[in-house]
Amino acid sequence: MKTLRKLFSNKLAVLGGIFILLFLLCAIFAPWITTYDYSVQDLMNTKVPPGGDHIFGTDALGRDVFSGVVYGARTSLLIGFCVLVLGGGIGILIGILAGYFGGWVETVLMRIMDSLMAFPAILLALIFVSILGSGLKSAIIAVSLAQVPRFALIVRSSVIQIKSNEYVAAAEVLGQSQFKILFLHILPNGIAPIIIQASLSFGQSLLIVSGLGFLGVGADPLSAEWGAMLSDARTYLMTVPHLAVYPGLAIAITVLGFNLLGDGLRDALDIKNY
Amino acid sequence: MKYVLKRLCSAVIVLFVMSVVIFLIIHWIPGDPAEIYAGTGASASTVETVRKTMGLDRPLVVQYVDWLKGVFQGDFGISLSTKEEILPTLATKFINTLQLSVYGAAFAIICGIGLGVLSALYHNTIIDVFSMLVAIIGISMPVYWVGMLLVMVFSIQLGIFPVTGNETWLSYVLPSICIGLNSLAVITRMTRSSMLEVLNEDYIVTAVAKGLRKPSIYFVHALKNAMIPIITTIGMQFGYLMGGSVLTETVFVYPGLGKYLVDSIQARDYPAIQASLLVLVTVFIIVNFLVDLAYFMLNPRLRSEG
Amino acid sequence: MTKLTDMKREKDSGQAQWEYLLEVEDLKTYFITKAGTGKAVDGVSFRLKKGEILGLIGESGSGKSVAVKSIMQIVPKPGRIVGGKVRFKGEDLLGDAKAIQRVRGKDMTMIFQEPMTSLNPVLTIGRQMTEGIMLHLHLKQKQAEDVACKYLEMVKIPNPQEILKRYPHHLSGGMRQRVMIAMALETNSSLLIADEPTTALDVTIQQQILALIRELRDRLNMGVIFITHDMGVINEISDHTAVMYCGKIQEYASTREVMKNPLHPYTQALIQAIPRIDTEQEELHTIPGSVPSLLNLPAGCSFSNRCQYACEQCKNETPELYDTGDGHFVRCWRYADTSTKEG
Repeated sequence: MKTLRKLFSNKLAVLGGIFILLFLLCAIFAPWITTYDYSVQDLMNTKVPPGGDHIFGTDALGRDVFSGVVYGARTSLLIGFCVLVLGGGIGILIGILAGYFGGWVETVLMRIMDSLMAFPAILLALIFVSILGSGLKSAIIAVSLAQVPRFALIVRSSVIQIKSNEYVAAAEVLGQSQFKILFLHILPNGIAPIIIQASLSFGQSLLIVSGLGFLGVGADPLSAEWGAMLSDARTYLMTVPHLAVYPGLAIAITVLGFNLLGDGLRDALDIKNY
Repeated sequence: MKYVLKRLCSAVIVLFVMSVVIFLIIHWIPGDPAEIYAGTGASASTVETVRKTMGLDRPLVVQYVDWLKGVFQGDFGISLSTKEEILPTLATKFINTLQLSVYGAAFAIICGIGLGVLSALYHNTIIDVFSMLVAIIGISMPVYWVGMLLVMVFSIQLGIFPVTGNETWLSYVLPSICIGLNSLAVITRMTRSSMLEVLNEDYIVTAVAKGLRKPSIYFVHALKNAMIPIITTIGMQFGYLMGGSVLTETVFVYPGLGKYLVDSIQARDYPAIQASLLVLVTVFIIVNFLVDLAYFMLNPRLRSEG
Repeated sequence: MTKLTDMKREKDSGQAQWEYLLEVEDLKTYFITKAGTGKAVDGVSFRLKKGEILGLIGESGSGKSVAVKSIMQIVPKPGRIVGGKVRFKGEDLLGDAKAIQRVRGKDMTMIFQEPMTSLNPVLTIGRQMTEGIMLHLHLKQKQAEDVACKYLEMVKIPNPQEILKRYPHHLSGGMRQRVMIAMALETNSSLLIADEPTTALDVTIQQQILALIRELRDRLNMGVIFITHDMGVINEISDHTAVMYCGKIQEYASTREVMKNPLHPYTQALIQAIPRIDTEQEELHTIPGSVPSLLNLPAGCSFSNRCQYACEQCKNETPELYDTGDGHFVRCWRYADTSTKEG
């Protein structure tokens, strides 16, 4: 409760929350919000400036930019969700294993994590895309991989910290199985930093995946994905500048929302290192 | 010294692993490597000739050693799309990217440390709030979008800077800002928190009690301590910056390594992909090692242990 | 107006006309926060002569450390000096913003509790020692190093030349505190403020540092304010003793008088809490209760909630500092009648 109150008194965190809410509403209610189908091309009405029927205008293929931006929220939600499940899941597992067992298991796992962490996510993603071929799926896998070490590091340190607590020792003495101890005691107590990291990771992965879309090696260029839309917009930067404004704004606001919320959570939960 | 050796060892191991991964790209992708090298639509006999001449029928280990030997002699193979030696192109692109990265890093470091220090010294004032706002927005904006906005405003609307290329010094300004913006934000945040932490230390109270003047307290006693984590951040950022070159160079159509890599991926020019990835990864690992070294030099406690 | 002209005359004559090295008068330092105002130092007054060691004793939170930090004007935020006078060699330090800059770190120096963290870890001892000399005495690097060496020798550090090149982590806690002392003396300081300089050290080192401070006082004839929470240390080092509790001085007298004839119930309790080896003691004496929060002090005497003699008056009215004769002052209602009122 105290944490929540602290979170709500932080104006920036509340602003972040509002941005995220807006993003989620767009993603969930996309069909009801939009009046046009983004996949439908209307070659009679291309490059229409914002206003009137098309409040964000239309692109070179006559598609409604507003629909693209709103449906883009769906794609982004899917991306973020997949990355959290995949990257977060593997990272948490590795962190628990390393922290709980220690010894050489920990050394090996953490060395690998350190090396992975040292690489810029976009570079890792490009290596992956070179192997798996372009597409949203490879982009998501690559970005998930980049998030694994971040989760692993924080989970490991909270496991080590909690492991030294008396109640875990007590549970062990009482003969609970190791896995029960791990999931009943360690995980719930180390959840706070994981939530913070999840918020920050969501934003980061959105940036990278849309970056790949922009480079033309991520999402399908014709799909409603903000990065792909921007890639399209770059071609017409001179003549149709409005195409570049809205998808970029959508990414910036969504990522800002998750970053502000992550920061706010960190302050509210009083966690210094993440 | 033990610390440095340990770091050197791990750098070499990571480099080895990455080189293996990059080498294997050609074997992991779906399809026969010989067919890929021969190009689409090549006849079966051509494919066989390619397989023989490139030694693709030998064991992988032999091929890897061979490939690595070539790399050390500057032989990165022949580009599939231009049918030319990769090395000369790679060298010029690399220099271009390095140049851009250095400018971007300089911009990020100078402004980042400046803003961060200001923010810490004027903690909880309007200056602090402003720089923190700049920092969090800087982290949240997609690099390439910032680049597009910069082009829209300064090149197309105001006509101050050229839209693309690297002909005059003016053409470096926008890409440098674009490539450095993210790092600027990270460095600002790091500098601020590091300075705030250091300013609470006992030795700062000692320095004040010694009657030292403010510049001496802030820039010698505080910043020198605060620099230890900042240096690490800066080093990491330089690597990230080179990684980010992929996006920035695409926006500004800047003839650098990042653009080359993206173009090669789109053209499925695998030798070129391998070459540019290897160079980027190697530079990255070297920079990280240098960062560790700098960390070691700055921290007297570590130095005397070694 | 008269005060202003007085001060002017002092400056004009060049040689300072002062009787006391340091005069603190009704000093008040408050911590103003959203939760309320904490009166960390609430009307502290004392005087210190050249060559005198004043012991300032109290529990943590008694305001003793804030009091000396107020004299140095290095009070941590959100603390603020809200009233009083601090006269150093006759010059008012609080009235003129530049005044403190002239003396801080030069004539008036300070050493701290934690020698492990009070030295900058990334600068050499030499760098840290010479910067003050170069700044305050306007010497060149080389000469400053000579001065630093001289003072390192004075605090009995062997191989001073060698030590100058070292970093703090090379030295033990005791050695670092010696370096701190040398650093405090090197500018010919005439007032040394020592904020619990021996608390973090083990007993034998503590004895050496105490002996060193006494010896240096004799040799350099400087004034010393020595803060501690240990009555045993007070007994060993100080000429006069001030007992602080909740931001106020509760008792002030010569150390011998305080030890022999403590008047304030708090002082008596502190003396009883000194562990003794010579007498059989069943248990260590502790003072019942705890120091009240500065935000929530008792209405009357701030010690009334822990005092075995507390009466109705103690709980409702704040006693003043009464002079019981022979320069022995005590802030307790029990001596209100016998006193000659206010010192």
